[in-house]
Amino acid sequence: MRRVFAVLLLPAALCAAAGCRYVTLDRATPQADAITDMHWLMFWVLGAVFALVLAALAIAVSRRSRAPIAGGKDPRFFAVAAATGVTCAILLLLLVASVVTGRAVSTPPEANALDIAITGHQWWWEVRYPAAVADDEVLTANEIHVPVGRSVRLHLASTDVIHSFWAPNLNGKKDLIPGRSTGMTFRVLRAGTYEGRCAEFCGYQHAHMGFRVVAEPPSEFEAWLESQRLPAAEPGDAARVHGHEVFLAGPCVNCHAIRGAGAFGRKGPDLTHLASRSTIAAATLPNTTGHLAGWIADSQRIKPGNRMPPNVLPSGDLLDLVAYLRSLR
Amino acid sequence: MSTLRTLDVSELPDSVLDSRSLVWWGTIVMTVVEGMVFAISIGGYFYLRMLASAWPPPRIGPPALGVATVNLGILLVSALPAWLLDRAGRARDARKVKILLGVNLAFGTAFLVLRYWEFKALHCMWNQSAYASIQWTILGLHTSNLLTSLLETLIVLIYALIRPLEDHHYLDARLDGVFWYFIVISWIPLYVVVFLVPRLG
Amino acid sequence: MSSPARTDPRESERPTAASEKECAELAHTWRERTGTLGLLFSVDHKTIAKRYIVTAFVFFLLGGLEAAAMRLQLARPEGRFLNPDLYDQVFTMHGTTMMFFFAVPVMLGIGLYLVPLMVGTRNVPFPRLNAVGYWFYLAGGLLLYGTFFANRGPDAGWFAYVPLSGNAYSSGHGMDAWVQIINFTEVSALIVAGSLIVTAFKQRAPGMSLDRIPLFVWAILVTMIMIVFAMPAVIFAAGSLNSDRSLGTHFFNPAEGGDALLWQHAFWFFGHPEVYIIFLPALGMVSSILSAACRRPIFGYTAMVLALVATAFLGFGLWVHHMFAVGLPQMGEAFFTAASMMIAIPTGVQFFCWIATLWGSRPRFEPPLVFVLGFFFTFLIGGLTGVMLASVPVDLQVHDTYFVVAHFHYVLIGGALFPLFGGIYHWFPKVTGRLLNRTLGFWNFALLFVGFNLTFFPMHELGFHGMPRRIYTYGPDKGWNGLNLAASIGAAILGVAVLLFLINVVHSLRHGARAGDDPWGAESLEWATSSPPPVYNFARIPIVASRSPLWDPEGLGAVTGLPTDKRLLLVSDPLDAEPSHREEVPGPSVNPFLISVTMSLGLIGSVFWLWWAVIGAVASAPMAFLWYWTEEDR
Repeated sequence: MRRVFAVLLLPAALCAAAGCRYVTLDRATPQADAITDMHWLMFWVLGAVFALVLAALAIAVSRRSRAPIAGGKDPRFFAVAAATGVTCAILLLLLVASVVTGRAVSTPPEANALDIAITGHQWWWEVRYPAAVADDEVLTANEIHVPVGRSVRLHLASTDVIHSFWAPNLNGKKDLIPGRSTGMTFRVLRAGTYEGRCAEFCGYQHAHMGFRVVAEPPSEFEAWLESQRLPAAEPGDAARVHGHEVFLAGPCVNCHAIRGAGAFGRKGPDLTHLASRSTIAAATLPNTTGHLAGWIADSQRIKPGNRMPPNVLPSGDLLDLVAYLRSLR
Repeated sequence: MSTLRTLDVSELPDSVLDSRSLVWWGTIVMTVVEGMVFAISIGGYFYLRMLASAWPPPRIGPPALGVATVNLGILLVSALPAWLLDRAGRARDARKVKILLGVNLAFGTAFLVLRYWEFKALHCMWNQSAYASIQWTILGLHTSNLLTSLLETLIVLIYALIRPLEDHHYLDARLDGVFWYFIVISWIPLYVVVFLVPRLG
Repeated sequence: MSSPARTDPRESERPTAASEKECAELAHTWRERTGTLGLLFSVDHKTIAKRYIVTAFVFFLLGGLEAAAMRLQLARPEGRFLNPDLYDQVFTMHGTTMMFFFAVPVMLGIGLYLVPLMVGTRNVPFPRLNAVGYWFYLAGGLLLYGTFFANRGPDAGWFAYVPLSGNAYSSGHGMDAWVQIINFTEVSALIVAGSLIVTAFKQRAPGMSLDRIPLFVWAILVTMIMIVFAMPAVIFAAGSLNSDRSLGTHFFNPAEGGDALLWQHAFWFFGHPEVYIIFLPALGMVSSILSAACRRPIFGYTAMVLALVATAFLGFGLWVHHMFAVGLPQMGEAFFTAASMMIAIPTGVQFFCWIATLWGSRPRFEPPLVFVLGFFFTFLIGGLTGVMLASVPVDLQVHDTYFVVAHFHYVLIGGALFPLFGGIYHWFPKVTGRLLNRTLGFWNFALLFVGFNLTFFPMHELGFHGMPRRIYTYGPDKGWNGLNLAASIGAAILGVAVLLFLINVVHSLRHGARAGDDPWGAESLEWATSSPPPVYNFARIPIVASRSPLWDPEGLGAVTGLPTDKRLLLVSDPLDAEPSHREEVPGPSVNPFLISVTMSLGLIGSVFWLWWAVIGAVASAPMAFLWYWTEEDR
């Protein structure tokens, strides 16, 4: 018995050692707030239940005298009945709390909600900001910008298998299901960059299908949106011009688009403003010259099984290509 | 040691031909399993129908009713020889059992043959749409049960024609009848689902 | 503390004893075929049950190796032990092996061994069909591991969501094999279910009315009924996936009116009851072990039985809680939250009744009891995290993360494996005639407990830290390194615990202390015969007059007049166990093996070429003929 109790201390010690960076519980939206509150309610209530039941068990096992069963009802009957009643009451409480929290999490968005369409692909996220005028539509990948304080309504879809959109700081997850549309609403209260990842097994590179949500002040958001609407920057020097040629001549155009630069591929992420993003390869690598070069040369070493083939290029071509892509702000 | 309580079972029968039998219970369990498979398939059918904007898809159209309704009639009529087989088994009448096994086999075969045209009456192949797939599946599941029953009837009949019948063979004949009741009764809701529901639109 | 073995009553002093001549006749009538070839002829429920259990443990070890491989890969960030292709196969194999080839079959095996003994009969009603069940199970396992060892194993997870598991995204034979093995395991389970349902209702010893059935038998009976209603759903799901993949049907193709969620509904309608199918027999084992350790009947028999039935019912109404992230209407979500929480009530009732049983009983601390205490601790945690997961908003954060991995291992290992180990320590003497070593048993438990908690408790944490399931590696900057390393170390300790168990078993088979009929002084009928029991179980069928027959001061009665020259079972009324007649059952035969071969070849072949299914069916028809023909040969 003593052995058992000693082992009980172990998880607590582990928790402390891990530093307790509860990403899920580090909330930045009212939705995540409500969920975290519900979690803590359950944690403490059920923790108390755990302690009480174990205590009862410990006493039962170590108690010395046999309970005499005198005339009339066995007293254990009342104990079991009472415990069952308390169980029902606790579960009812948690049920009500859960339903209330569910309502709070799914409050309908305000009138001026921002609509964003997210489409899941194996293994990257297509992000589209629809607009009334076709020219104002923004298409990007793996990085979502939202204005702080304004409701955001995500429209989720998938072209291949089931994925799941999950940004723990912002809200619970929602699946992207081929043939169906799902959605999610949240409102970010705190500026910052939040991590997200796919949370439904979707094949080889499910582990590396991440995204970033950048919440910024409304003015900065509008500025970002404006810049994303522009066509690709013209190559500014000879190296970048050559890089542009390498891009057009190679297999890149089969999958990738660069608006205003003669590339229209839709199978892979849109690269028009690649350099404005902080990560590449679905938030797997930082967006730097070295990483980009490595990714282009042999993405299979970084994300084996992904859809982009290796590209064996003479080093001059590769460097120019990277220089061009790095200029696409 | 205190006096031993005993119970003498030497007078109990060595075989029974009714629902007290272990084999009878086993057969019932099997029909419950098969029935549950049908029930789940019907659930899948209505799930797909709930999602569809049109059921059946306009290019396929609802199944033709003619052959299916005739076949339903044959099946319902076949319950009579099944019932007679049941009675003959209970009465341990070897001659009647053999004849009725043959009659049952004939009805079942007729039903099976017409089943071919029932598949055709669906006006689609299984790979044309989800509607087609579930229709073929339900019809196919019932058909596989039918085939199992026919095989069972055939086996018992051949045995009955060649070797003398004992009690447990009469029980098998009765159970053949019981399983046939299942084939008949389960077909009624399935007929409604496969042939009539698509006409609801 | 010395081993509490009662003085072994001599064969002739047992209440159910018969003359030597009778016993010799019974042994001859019920004999099995000898020799290696004779193994193909077995129809004794105990032999087949032992096969299920041993085979299940082989799969347990294989599943454990797969787990070890995963933990090796995940011990540090950006591990290179398994590439994603192999990792995906390994986690799929781990889940499929544990769920379909270990957890359910081992419970089936234990039920198959004990239920006929506990109700006082000689064999199950359809002995040859029972044999088929085992061969099918084995065939399914061979198919699964055949594809895996050829590096073409299934790789879409043990619940194989479409469209990933469909042709477009999982071409190749791995998933084709996966849908077939469902057929093998589910037919095998249905055969055992049918056998044990009929045994429990129709073959009980005289006097064993419904309210005198041991709680373990109730647990198995309820489980078998769940199997009858749950397996058809997975037949439908796997069959539909099979036909989508090989025949071009469109069940799951949204472009032609199908739906990806149809798979999830159909699978989880089976999948949730499946975990209760694994769990309920373990609850039965806990009752048996506790009543023996406390030397008193379990408190609240009626409540316990109703709790089992309620758990089974409710278990069918929870499945959508696996699908909270797909965007369901809120009303539906609330219903499934309520049902998922409500199921804690009957389990709670069982817990309270067990605690009441233990209260003041000064139980004997033998390994079976210690494993049961381990069950209390671990399953309680798992059950409580289950209540957390029942809440939709909380679930939407931790769904598909390591929090869920922690939860289901706590309920499966806590709720099923700990009682299973306890049950093995408890019934090993009955099956083999020798006791497992007590000291090794305590070490076995301690390492299992520490290893298990060290492996899986950190995973709750990892889920909160954002680590999703089924990822083959993770970045070094996510903050998951320490917890993953801890989990992997725990897994190593778990491995040692399992090794200790194996050593204990192997050693005790040869050198364990000999056990008499009833080393624990337990209450149920399996302890009223020798250890191991003779092939005919009881020389005379017992007559019972109480819920705890071996503790009845009146003692056991005995049935007389049941002939010993034919394989006769005493059949009784399902409610009050009044004997109604005697029914003969068939003896050893190779037909079950033959028909299993033809049908298995058909199903396995169809993975590679569809027409094999027809060939197999056609080849099986004459086998069926042959079977019927030779049913005479008793």
